[in-house]
Amino acid sequence: MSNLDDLRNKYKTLSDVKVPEDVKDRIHTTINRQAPAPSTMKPKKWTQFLLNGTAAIAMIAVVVGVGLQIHSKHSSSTPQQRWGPYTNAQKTNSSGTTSGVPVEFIWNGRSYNTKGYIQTVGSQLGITTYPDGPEKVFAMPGKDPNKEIAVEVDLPAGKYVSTVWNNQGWIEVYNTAEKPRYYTLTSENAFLKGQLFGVYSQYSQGSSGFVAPSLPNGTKMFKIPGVDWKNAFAVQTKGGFITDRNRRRIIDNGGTWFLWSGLS
Amino acid sequence: MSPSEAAHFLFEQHGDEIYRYIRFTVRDKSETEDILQETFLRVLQSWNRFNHKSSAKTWLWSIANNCIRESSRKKKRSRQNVSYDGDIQDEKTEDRMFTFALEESLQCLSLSQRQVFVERVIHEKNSSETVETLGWSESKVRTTLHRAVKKIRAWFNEGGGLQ
Repeated sequence: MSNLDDLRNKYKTLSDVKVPEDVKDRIHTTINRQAPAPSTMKPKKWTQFLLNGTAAIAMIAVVVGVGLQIHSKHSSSTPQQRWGPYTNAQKTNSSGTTSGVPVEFIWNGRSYNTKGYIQTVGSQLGITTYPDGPEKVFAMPGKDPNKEIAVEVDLPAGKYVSTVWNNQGWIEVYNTAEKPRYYTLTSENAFLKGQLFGVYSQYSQGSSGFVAPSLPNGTKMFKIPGVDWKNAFAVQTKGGFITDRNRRRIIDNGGTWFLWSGLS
Repeated sequence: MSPSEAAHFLFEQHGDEIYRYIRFTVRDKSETEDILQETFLRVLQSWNRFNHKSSAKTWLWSIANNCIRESSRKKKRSRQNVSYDGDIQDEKTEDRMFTFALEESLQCLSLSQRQVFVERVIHEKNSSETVETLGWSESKVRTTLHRAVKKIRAWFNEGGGLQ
């Protein structure tokens, strides 16, 4: 159709638009993460049925577990096992600064933010498994372990990072289909660009499986740009701040914002 | 080819094109990214069921179209669409403003008109390729495109964009 030519010329610029690199990386990562483990045997139909049943039971168990975890997060006396976007591979790039070391550790039901490196630690308190698997947790000399702890990191060898409890609120991001995910929220992308996509209700809880036991009906739910809303979204509740994944208060806006959880 | 290999391969081969298709159809950057991700997750999940009767590209487009439709339905249901979420508002250059105006112009089109417009005008596909990727009849492609072009021209004539 030749009369399209002028329009095609006009819109040529748009044909140069490409997938942003960060989105590319995320999709490749998601594909890898979601890829089923290779199997050499094709299960029979009834086996598949049993497997599906098992998966459903496992899913229910995880949902119940998540609910319990939410309720017990401040009082738990055992370390919580969580996973984040940081990997040991990233840590090997550490150059002696806190970059490359997770900015957050969970110990004894509390979230601690990384402060910096230290050389001297107190007695060993236990082992944290978040975010990169087992890591030894130590008391800080002269500090209340409820407020500051030290965590041994694998690089640089023999170093410890001191961390401080962040009591500014909690962000819970769960995805029972796999491991919990954490996302970084900034005031700009959460508040200015976040897209209101719905209002929490029993209906949305039932239909999409959000784990949101304490969200009042009518709570507004906002998309986090670049994040599948089924995995995480921001909600606005009464209060006064937006928090990021490190539970830091980052902006006062007349409403409290938390990431909330969704099940995909 | 394993599902994972297929998903990576199709993403490498057609990722940019399908990104543009979704982006200019839904006009919301974060929604685009969600749909794009969902599309390739479905590729991963459905690859073993793909019967190869059509080309992988056609199959990919049909998945993307389903995802777009579902997303559009959800959006209508929630009746919440705060604003157009272009990612170029912080860029002031003339080129970017021009691109922005072009993207804005697509707002005057309906979903199906945008779909056919992206394929025929932006991707410069011919009629039969568009029939294949959209899964529409030839007459539907023709009439929808005709209406889309008419609206776009009117939009420019009314000074909605750059002359």
